[in-house]
Amino acid sequence: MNKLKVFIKDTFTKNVKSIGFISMLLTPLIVIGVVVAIIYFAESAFSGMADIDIAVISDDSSIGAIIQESEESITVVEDIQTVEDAEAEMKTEELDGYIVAGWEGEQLQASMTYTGGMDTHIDVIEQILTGIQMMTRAQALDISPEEAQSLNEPVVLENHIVSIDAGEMVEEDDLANMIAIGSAYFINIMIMMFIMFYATTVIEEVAGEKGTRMMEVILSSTTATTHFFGKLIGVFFVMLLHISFYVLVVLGAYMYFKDHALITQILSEIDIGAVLLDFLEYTWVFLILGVLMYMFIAAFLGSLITKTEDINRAATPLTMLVLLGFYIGLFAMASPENPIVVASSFVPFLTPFVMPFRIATNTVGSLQVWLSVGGSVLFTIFVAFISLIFYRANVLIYSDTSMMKTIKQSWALVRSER
Amino acid sequence: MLEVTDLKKAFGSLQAVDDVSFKIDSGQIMGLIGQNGSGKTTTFRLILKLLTQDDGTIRWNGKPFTKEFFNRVGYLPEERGLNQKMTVEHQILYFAQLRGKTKAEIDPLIDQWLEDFQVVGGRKDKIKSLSKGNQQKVQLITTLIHEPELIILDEPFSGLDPVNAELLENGIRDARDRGASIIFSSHNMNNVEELCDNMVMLKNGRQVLNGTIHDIRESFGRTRLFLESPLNRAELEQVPGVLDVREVNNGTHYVTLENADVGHQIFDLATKEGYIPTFSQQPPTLEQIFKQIAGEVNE
Repeated sequence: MNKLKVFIKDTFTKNVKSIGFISMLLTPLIVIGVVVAIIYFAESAFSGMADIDIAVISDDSSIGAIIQESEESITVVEDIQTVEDAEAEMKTEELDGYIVAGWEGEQLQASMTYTGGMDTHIDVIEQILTGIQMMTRAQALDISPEEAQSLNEPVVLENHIVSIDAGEMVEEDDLANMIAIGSAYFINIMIMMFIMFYATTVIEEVAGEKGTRMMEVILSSTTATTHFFGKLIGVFFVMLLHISFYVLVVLGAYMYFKDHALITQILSEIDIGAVLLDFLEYTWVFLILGVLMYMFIAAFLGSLITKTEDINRAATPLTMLVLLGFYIGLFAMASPENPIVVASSFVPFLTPFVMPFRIATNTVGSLQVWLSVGGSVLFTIFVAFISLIFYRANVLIYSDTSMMKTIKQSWALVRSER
Repeated sequence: MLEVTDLKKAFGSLQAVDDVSFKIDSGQIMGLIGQNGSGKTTTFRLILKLLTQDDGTIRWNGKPFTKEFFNRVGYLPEERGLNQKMTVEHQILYFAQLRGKTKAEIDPLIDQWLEDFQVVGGRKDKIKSLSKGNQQKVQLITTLIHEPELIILDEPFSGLDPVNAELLENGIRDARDRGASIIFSSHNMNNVEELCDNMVMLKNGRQVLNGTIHDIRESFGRTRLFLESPLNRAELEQVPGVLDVREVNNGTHYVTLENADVGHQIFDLATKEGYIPTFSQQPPTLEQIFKQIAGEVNE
């Protein structure tokens, strides 16, 4: 088997079977599942009212009948006609409450006695009683029920939210805005998580083989370049599997839930095509570029250490860069035109974090976007080249000194190997 | 056949390997000896292209040794290394595939090799569950299982008990009998003396000895004499050219001579009255040669 393939296959199979990968793969799904479950239960708790039994004690028997008809969850127990009976039933928990209602002229007076936990029912009962009173008064005024209904119709109030941009009033699409901002946050977090996870995986891969002193045997059977790219391509394939899995899950979920009321409602309000287009146009470029760039940096850092215990030490500079990018990204959301944000969106190793926000807030033209992409591509190639040169020298240096000294030592070796 | 000619390598101002030349024929074993830091590992790394030489050539069967020959190499580095999380068979297959073998070729051989090297542990066991000695044996298997034509072993005997050292010796002899060219470094001169046809000694990167074990020893002259005779210590010390006399056990003396000719005088003296049980005049052992050369002040 081609040796590059051996490295790719080994790296790929080892990582997709690892607990770290599986948990990274499933965690977002579990989190989304838990959030959806919470929303679902919360909704059903608020919208669906529990069934209750009440008594209506009144000279006007129509009141009980109207309540019974108006609300499914309320059962009016007709047999109970006195307060004493009702209270006796409540004590045995056969009854949840009772209403004493009567007319004083055209005023319907009612009092409700009930056990706790019926607040939503009280609002409904109050509305029903108000309706009964309104209908009675309308009748007295000789107004038809339809006319009474029309009196109750609410006004039409349309909202137009605008922002002032360079002296012009621009209407804002609230939902589209929310989606753009939400997607940018989501993408920023996703890019950070992907970069951190895959960069650390690369460090572990390289440092693992170097730390266990396998490197000499490996490099006596193939070149450092083959090893370098084999490891990186293997990890990159793991990432592709990761993304494909999510795409499949989203597609599967869409196919399954597309007829669900909530989803059709959301889909009718969002131009899903536009959101996807936005994503396809830029974001995947930043995601893949970001991961690639940091994977190369990670391979370089991984090759600097000599013991597997030092993996965290190698990951520290990378983590700091990633966090810097992440926070500038968050800051970019609030002030997309801040000079620091604008400048850092063109700094290659920060571009993947910052540029999506500038795109989301429409503060950057596509020429600039592609310029930053071009810069990142060139920088990634440069990082790959430098990493490879040092990697070839570093992988056989086993000094216990600081990372800076190791870099100096490998530089000396790079020069002596010329 | 591996042929190394005028190999040189410097790291900054340090000349790590300086004009080293040797040849290992197919089916031959060569020992590379020298003190720590004498350039043995650097020499190995130069042969294996882990480092690039400043000067000199390395040829394999008459052609420059390049990466295309990597599949024919078996290399055991001084710093042993196995992935602790891998299973034994995964580790063996991984290295074998990096030597161009397929899983189908190597997989059926694993059990026999584990048995031959008496590895305590199954092929499905994780490396980390094996004892250090067994891990070392697994590493030896990974070095040899693909039947390499050139075998480079850096301190293969270090850390092995006598039983395991013998298993390794057998493995090396088997590879030699297959026709492999083998080079190994060792601090244990007994291993070198028992196994090697040829030997090279490095000192500060320079080659100070090169040849067959027999020739090298003989070149130092037969200056060690074991003598069991009527002569006592004082009489022996009076012979011109005797440098040192030690009584090793009852009646047997170990005499260090200035040169081999002194032995003739002692023989005549000792046999003046006829039969003596022991007169054994020998060249210095490899260990003595090693110590002698290592101890010499750098020129």
